[in-house]
Amino acid sequence: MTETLTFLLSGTLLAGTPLLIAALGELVTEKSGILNLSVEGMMAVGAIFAFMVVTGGGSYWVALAAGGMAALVVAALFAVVVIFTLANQVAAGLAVGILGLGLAGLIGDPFEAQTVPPMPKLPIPGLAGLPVLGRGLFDHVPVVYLAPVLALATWLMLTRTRLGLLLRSAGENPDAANSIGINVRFVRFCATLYGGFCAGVAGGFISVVSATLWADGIIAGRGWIVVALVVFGTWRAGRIAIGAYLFGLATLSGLLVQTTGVAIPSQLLTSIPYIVTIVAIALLSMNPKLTWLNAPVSLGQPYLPTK
Amino acid sequence: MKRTVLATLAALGLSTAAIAQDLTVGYIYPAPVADVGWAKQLDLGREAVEAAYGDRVASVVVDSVPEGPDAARVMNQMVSDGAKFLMLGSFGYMNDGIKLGRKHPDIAMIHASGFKQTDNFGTFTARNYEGFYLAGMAAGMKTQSNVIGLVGAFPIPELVAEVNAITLAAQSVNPDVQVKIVWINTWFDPPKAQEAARALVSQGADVLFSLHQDTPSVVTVAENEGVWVVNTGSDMREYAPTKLLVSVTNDWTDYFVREVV
Amino acid sequence: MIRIEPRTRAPGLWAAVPPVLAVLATILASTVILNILGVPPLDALHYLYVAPFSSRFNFAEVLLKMAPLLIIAQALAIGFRARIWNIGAEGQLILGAIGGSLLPVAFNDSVNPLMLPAMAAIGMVFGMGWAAIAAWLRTRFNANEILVTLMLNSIALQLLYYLVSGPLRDPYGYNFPQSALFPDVAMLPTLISGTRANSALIVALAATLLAWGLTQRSFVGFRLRVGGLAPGAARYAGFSEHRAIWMALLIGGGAAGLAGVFEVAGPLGQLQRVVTPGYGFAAIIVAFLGGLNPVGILAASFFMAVIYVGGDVAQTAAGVPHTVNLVLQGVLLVTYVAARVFTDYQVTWSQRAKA
Repeated sequence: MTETLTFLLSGTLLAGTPLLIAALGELVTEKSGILNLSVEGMMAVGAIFAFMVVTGGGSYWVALAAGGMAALVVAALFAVVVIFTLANQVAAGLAVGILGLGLAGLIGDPFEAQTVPPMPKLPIPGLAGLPVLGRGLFDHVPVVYLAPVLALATWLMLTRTRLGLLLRSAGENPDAANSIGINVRFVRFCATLYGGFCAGVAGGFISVVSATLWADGIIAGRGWIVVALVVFGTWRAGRIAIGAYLFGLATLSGLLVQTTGVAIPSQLLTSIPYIVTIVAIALLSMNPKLTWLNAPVSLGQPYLPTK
Repeated sequence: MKRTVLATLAALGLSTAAIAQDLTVGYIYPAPVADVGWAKQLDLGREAVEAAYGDRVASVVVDSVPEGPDAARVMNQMVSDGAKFLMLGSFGYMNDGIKLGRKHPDIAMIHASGFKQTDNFGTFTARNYEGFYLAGMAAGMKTQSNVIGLVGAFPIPELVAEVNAITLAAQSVNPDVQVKIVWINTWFDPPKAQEAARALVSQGADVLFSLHQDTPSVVTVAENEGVWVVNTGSDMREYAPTKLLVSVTNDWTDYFVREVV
Repeated sequence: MIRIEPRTRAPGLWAAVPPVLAVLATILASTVILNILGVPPLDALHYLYVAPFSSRFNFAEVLLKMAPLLIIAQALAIGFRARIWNIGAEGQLILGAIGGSLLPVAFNDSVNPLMLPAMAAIGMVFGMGWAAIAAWLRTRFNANEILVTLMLNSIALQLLYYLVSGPLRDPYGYNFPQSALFPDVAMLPTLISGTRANSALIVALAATLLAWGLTQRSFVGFRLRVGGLAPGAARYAGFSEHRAIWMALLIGGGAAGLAGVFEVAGPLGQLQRVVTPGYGFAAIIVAFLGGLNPVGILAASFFMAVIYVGGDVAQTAAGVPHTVNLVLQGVLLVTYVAARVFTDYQVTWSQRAKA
């Protein structure tokens, strides 16, 4: 029983971390008014670049940063296309996403099914010794601890700093922001790049930290879950964090139920996280105050400064 | 622990007297050829054919061909490029292969894991369950927690046979053994395979079986968690230097060489 | 410096710029990438763009690939014009395939010629039903349809796996996860003998005409377009947003469902685990590439089909990895959406400094 709990706790953190990191990046991007659907492709690019760095002998931190930078470049392409050529964001996001997936697969071809050694864990002294909670929550690689810290930092940034205000005004009312001198396009551009960086780090986490291998298609649809999480979390960092971990928990529970031999079809258990997400989004969206209060008004709409 | 394959092949369309001077052989794999995995083992068979026949044989290889409507196109392309013998590396290519065989009676094909045969379409499979029976016995003897965990992709007949073999074998040497299975319902999601492996470990499994996972996903988890692991397909010793109990591999080399004749 | 302003007049010839630029960029990218992979440029061009036309079989494959893309894209475009983003065509296709398989599996020895039309109808209903879930959630709960349809894709796939592993499995199929092969009356008639091109193409062309009629000539289409271009005006004019959502999603779901039936009644001949090589997503690309316009979509679906078939040829003949297809599709669409700036906006070079 304790083993099960430990597994659930530790597995949830491990599964939720990349989702959370990428979702926080997407949150910043969306708050500035840009809907970036290319997360899957950006994560894949991040995954392969991080993997290549580790295989080439680099440290894990450098690898994650490299993954982030690679994905940032992809995000820059997306940003230029939607901010400067005013392309339809849904179409552009899908396009860049596919491009990213293809490039990652192409570049990663020689590395197919190779592995890397695991990143050293950093047990938190004292706490890691606790029964159940210790091994579950406090015996992880440092990136796992940083994820909730990032959530907190993102929330602080968005709600308490001038930078956050800039971001939010670019997303809420770009015309008004423009009229008081904010360069909306630049703000959105930077926000999109940041979102890309986060997605890349998340992808790198999946390939070099959690799976410790690379294979074409390793992201397996998680990029879309990230996009869903931002909506699920009603554009608030704290709720996004809950959502990310919940999704991880739901997936793991499904696997765990199978081990008990209960006669529920495995396909149903595999579907449960998705069903839960739909139900949750429906329930949350029902209350406009809850959801749309936080959604940036101009999300997805192209902005052309008029002077 | 190697098992050589046993073939079930009907008469070849090619008469053995007329061996082509240059025979082009086409190989179609459903997965990418990497260092390990299903496609790799098939590819080793191709290398054996090339080594045995040297210049008399030319090979065309296409990997990562998904099952479904696209496979037929690749097969057709190979035949129009001159291939006279095709090795179809996945169950899902069966119907398209048979249709192709009817259109082109002068080619021959062998197909993995199917159940239909015609004059120029043969099937081959490996009695993996025999290998898994032995592995199951080893697992049954090695386990101390009496829980064995299996990570499988889809509950298709080949895997179900293996599961049964493992269970029967383990219980034959250790009647108290419990076998737990997780089906991840995808051929391809290494992180999910790893989560399944960890879930099984948390339920007490101290021997894991990686059933047809093409990547060393489960194997590396086993090494990290300190449990024994048996995997399918390739020798994955280097991924789990201390914890690999057994690899049930497929050695197609002799069989392919025989069939190309 | 470059000034971009919203266009006040019709783009005229500028409308041709995005597709032409996109195609050129793709051709360039394909030559470059294949060159890096060791394929000489002329060979690359041959494999990708000439080979698909070089034999009866290949050309028929282009037509075979084009039909589902065309059917689905026409329907999706109608919704996209109304800014209703149905990303769930993949799942709706799967549901359509399931629905279309019920009759042939239940009546496996039948010789009734009505089976095929009945299958098509049932498949469409199933596809529409799946899309209806998203429509209901959007109209009743305000749930974003992008996410709901996306999640429904994954669930549809699991449902398919469950059905072919159990209830719909062929009892004589040695337990393999697939249904029995369909009887001849359940199969689509072939269009060109000796190939796989079937009458799905005719339906696709009919769908194109229907789509053109709907969007260009009918009031329904008008309402949908206004809803997309100027939601405020549409509301003021009394165009029901809910009705638009239902219509858009049902049309998309029905078309995808029909395409699903055509897959199982065409090249597959049975229900199995893989019924679509990503048509649902590819159709979204085709819809955008075609400028959300019925004629443009016709051209775009043809070009996409050529890329697919050419990619397979390159893979077989030159060992090019299949991921190149994705990269090329990405380049195609990215260039297209970026180049749209020339049609949607007026790009001028002005000498004045920024005011």
